[in-house]
Amino acid sequence: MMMAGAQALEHELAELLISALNIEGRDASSIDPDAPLFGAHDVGWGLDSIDALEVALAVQQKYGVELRADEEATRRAFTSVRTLAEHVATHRH
Amino acid sequence: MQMTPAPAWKLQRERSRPWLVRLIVWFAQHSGRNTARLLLWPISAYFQLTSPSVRQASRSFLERALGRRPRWTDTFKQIHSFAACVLDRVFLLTGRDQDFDIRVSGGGSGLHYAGAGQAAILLTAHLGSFDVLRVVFKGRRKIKLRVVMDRQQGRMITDVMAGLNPDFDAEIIDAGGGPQLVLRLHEALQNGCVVGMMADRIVGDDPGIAVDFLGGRARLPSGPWKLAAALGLPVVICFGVYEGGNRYTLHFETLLPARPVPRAERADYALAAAQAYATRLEFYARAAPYNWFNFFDFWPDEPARD
Repeated sequence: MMMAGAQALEHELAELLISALNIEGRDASSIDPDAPLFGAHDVGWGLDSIDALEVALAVQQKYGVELRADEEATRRAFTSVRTLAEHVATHRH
Repeated sequence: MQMTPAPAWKLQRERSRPWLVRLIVWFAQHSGRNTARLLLWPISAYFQLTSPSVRQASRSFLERALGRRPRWTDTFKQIHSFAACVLDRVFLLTGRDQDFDIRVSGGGSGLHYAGAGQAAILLTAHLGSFDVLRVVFKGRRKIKLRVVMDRQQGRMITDVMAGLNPDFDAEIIDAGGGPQLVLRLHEALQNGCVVGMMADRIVGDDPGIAVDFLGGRARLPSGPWKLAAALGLPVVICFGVYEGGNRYTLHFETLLPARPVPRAERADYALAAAQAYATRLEFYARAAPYNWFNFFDFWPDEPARD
């Protein structure tokens, strides 16, 4: 049950990323939740730091969860869709 | 992971020795500005005589900016005014700004946002002194300024300056640390800060934006324009030109009004904005060529002229 909830949230966040960043050719249902968000395009999402800001703003708007600069939790949350989902699950009300 | 070659300016090691810098700072504080300025002559001569790469970069810039073959005295003037501005940092940072004659030109446009507590991006360059800007902002209490700097780059100088003035340290936003930088900037801007940064040197793996600059193609960083577009912030430019003696003039201009730019249009926006900045930078660099403090090849994509 927990597992299914986590997967649903990961899917929701993947959709949020794709729409907030206007990413074409990526399907939220077929993403690897452990793919790195930043860094090279071929192994992950290849986001840059401006994308990080837009993701943070979108997450805040949708879930009321803040991603503050210079916090270890933020650094961890920005690793992959899975860690972002964990962060949102822990902090949303 | 970095595939692009390191930018030319990063290849220059910090030439100065910590003990030498600390000695000069100590001497400047104890002997006063006029006496300390006598040191500028031997220091400038030393750099001119011992650093072919500095001479080369100076000549290649001055030929474009002056529109004639530079003489060795032109290069000496440029190095001397660089050394003078570095020395003045000691006095500006320790609150001795009453010793200076600092004028503000176009402040109505540039300081408008800051005075109203409105966030803005303030772009400058290695042209003249950035510290006179701090002084002008400090005189207007409501204005909050944050400055983006890479603490790893020029670490020794940063440490010395932070030792002179703890406020200096507090207002720095560290450019290191990847994606978090933009979150830091966003938080400062949300608090109504004016965020200042240099927009003339490429950092990290940024491929840069190609612009026309002083008759050649040069590359400028893309970060400032991405940030302005994503946050829809106004962009103000500011250059603190050293006029000789104890005189500085701060030139402010509003380069771009506040306007959020949709993602699809951002690449075009960045190209146009970077060129607009380059055009104004060229104007001020021609007007004050000895204030140009980029002592590396600014046009690496162009064939050598000689």
